[in-house]
Amino acid sequence: MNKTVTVNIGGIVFHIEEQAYAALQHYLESVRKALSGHQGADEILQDIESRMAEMFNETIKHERQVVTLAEVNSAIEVMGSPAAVAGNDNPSESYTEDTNTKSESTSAKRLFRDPDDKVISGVCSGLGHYLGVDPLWFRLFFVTIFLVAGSGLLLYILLALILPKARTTAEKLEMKGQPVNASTIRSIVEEEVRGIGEGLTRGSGKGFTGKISRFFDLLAQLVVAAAKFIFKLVIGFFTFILSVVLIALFIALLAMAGLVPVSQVPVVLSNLVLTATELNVLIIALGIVLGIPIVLLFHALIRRLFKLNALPKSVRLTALSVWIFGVLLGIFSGVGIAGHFAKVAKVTNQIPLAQPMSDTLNLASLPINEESGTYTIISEDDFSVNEDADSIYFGSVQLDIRKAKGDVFELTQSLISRGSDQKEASRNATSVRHSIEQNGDLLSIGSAFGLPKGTFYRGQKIRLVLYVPVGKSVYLDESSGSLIHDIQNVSNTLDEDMPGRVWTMTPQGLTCIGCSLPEDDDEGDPVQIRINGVDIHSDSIEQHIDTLKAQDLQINIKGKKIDVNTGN
Amino acid sequence: MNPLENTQAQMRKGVLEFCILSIIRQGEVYPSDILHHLKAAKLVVVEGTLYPLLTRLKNQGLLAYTWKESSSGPPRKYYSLTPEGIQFTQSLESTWKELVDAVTVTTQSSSKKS
Repeated sequence: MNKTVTVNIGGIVFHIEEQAYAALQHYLESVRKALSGHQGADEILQDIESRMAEMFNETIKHERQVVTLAEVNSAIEVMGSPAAVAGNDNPSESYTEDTNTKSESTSAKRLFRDPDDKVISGVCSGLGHYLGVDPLWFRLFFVTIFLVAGSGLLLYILLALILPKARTTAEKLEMKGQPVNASTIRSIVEEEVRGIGEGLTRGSGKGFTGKISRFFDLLAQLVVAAAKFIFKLVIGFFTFILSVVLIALFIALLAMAGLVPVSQVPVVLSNLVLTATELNVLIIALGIVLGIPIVLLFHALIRRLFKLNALPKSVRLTALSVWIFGVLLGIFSGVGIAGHFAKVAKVTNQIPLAQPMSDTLNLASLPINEESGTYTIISEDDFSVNEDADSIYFGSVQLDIRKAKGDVFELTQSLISRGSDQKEASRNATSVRHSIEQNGDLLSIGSAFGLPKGTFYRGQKIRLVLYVPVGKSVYLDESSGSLIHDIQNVSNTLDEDMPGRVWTMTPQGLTCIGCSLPEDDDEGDPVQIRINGVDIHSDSIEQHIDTLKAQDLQINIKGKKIDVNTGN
Repeated sequence: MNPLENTQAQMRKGVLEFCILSIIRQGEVYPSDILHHLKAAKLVVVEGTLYPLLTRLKNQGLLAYTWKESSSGPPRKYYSLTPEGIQFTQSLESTWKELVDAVTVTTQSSSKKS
């Protein structure tokens, strides 16, 4: 008992045994391969198929009779072997059935990707065939430059996109530089047929490369379902955004070329925030995430222009999986980098202070010692780096003034930093260079701190608190403006108005005795209040006074201030 | 394939094209008819070789075909010679006659000597 299938061969319906069907299909496929390169190969194949259908039709007496393997085999025997159909039986013969170019002996090599011996896409084995070198060397080469520079990956992707895959037997022969004729084709086809017969197709299933290849296939399959939608979205998005961004970038680059040394930015990153490896990984990830859409975009453009075929599915899947790999790489390295900022540590030191002779301590900001070499200050509005600098300075130093518990001046310095753990964070915190000098009544505090070369920036900052006893004063030098931050005082004077004055600590807080402080001339928005259901606008408050009085309310208006007292 | 078979195959192939054209010249035929003739003459062993040849001759403009209904199945391709094909066949025919004469003269003269 055998399973049968119904097929349409050359326009006639046949019931055919499954085994026979497989044999017929394999035969026709082999003929197709052998004929590749022939002009009108499709037509020839159609003729052969119709003729075989006729033969079956002749042998079958009854409409319900089934075509068996025996019939298929005898039809194949009558038709002849694929090599015979393709023409030449003997490579030494000068007679060529077809005068067309492809079947003429060409031993010039062509560069293809080899689908039979691939790890990822067959680029390396194709290069190996072309140059007659073991593909292993190319694989090592690509892995090496991928690890060292990362640009190797882009090169590989480009090659994988540009190089055609050797699909037909003729192309595989051209790839290996063997002459394309019937006998070589036959030997390849027979080899492949044998491979199928033994239950293993070449290139998949054998050894190390096979495993990797299978792994990539599996990976591609896994990601494709989830990512298809995202891919479309991203491509659409990038097509639009990229064209805008590229133009903007180009213009910006032109404008900035003479002004900003762009090359310094990576220096800052690599010296300060990231290790060289982290920077490289990040650049690779960025290269993949941006590069693949750009390459695909250009391919799409070129395709439009030259009316080329769409990229084969395998290439698109590879590009997609590499792209997702890039995104994951970016995420992982981002998470890794963020890990350096996971924990905060604070190291607080009591700075010994000599009590001033007078009641007033003069507070000034200490300029960075220019003799210590070149230096750079990085703060919110100043961002530049000198490569020769032995330290890079950060302006994140803030000073607060509070009431002292005792009757002496005190100064605490808190070094704060982040790190991957508590220990590293405090090590990062204490690595800063910050100077505090006292000279008699003059206390000078550095408004910036330095990070010695080789120390990474982990969000270091310095918080200083100056404790002033009640009754004593601080003179804030004009230079201290960059130092003080949000100092509480009785008159609510802003930081920017505090320097240049003497501030005295009173039991209420810090006051500037006898100062004519600038009024807070904030016009502000008109005030609107609602009392007992009546809306009162500050601009028109007079109109409402009568109403409000009637409700036992007393309202006094002084300038823009309104005092409201309830009657009881 | 031994040298003898090789030479024999080449000889047959050399005249195959001429024979096929000659068969078609006698009237519209479809591939199976051609095959019957060729098989009878033992010029073709396997049928598969015929189709690439017909396709090539058609592409060269020597043959044309029309689809015709058949009683026992789907329509068949019936081949006929184009005017170029007729001329081509005639030239081949004269070449063939010259060749036969040449071969006869050569083989007879050499057999006389031996």
